[in-house]
Amino acid sequence: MKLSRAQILTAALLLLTACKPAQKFNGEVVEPAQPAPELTGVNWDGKRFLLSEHRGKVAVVFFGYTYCPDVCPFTLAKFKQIYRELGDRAKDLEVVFVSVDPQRDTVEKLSRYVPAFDRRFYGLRLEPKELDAATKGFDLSVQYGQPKHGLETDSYYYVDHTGTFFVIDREGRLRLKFPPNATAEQMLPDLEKLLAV
Amino acid sequence: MKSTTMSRLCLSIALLGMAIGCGQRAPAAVGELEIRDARASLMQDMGVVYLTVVNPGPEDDRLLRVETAAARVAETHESLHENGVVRMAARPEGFEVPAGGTLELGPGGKHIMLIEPKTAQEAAGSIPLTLHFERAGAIEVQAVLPATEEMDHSGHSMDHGEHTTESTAEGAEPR
Repeated sequence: MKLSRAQILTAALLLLTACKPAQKFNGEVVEPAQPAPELTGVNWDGKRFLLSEHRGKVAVVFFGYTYCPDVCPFTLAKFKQIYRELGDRAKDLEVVFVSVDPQRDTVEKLSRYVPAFDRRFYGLRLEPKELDAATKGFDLSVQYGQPKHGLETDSYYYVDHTGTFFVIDREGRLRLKFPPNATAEQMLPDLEKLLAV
Repeated sequence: MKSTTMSRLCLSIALLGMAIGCGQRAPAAVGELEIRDARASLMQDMGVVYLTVVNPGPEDDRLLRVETAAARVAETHESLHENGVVRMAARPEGFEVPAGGTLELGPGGKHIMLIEPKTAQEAAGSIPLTLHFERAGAIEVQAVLPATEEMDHSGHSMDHGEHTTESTAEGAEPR
């Protein structure tokens, strides 16, 4: 049987496509990629936020609270560094910080915290029902500690929480997860790959 | 011999010059311990201090507690990561400074937590701390602001609501 040139070319192309190595990521790949859970809340500027409305952009969602003096500021600083590295491409990357502590983290409080790092970051306060939904959707662990200092106005307590970074692609699919201690250098190449699509 | 002495003298002068040139980042050494790179970030209700303690001596020491006039409370704490969960633990026992080793207080690990700190504006560039060690006793140190260099402390002085109409930090409105 003699194959035509077109048939040979088609077969070669198919073979090449099949052999194309899967994209390598530093982060943990979510397989199969699944639609990201919905996330609704109020941003630090007082506007409603729906994660699904940001389809078309890459988003990194992570959880924390403003009373956390150590990990959370350090995390926001990492994304400021990532924004700087991305330059113009940063306009297609949504950085979404979600408070797990709606009792203390009012929108007003978030408005004094999040934009101190970068005004382009989102800082969301979720109503308890919305936070419950996010906790289930993103499979979070959130544990509230006991107040210990007896401050009259605003007792201090810890919130142990999942510190994973959830990366959502332009099609709104949860694609990658990074552990809380992931560095900007580890996350940047993966985000660049998703932004290039 | 003379040239060796001269070399040592030159080296000493150079090191002294470097120390002076480093300003507030210069190490503060008392007894055997040396405190390096003390830095602080002050947020609305919380703050954090990082630093390094070098112990070249033959005996272990321990950072027992911290005092500062710049916050209502200063405590030794540690952030822990366990199975993706970030957890904060108080360390009332303080931190060991091993003989011939260092104690590193840094982001995402051991740190000094400040509750109800002064504002960054009040602190005006640095805050005083007294570190109490088991063996070395009290060591005074100034922690410079900010510890998280990416953070714009001026953002904390924004009046309520100002963020919705003006762009002050990055020149970009929230999207």
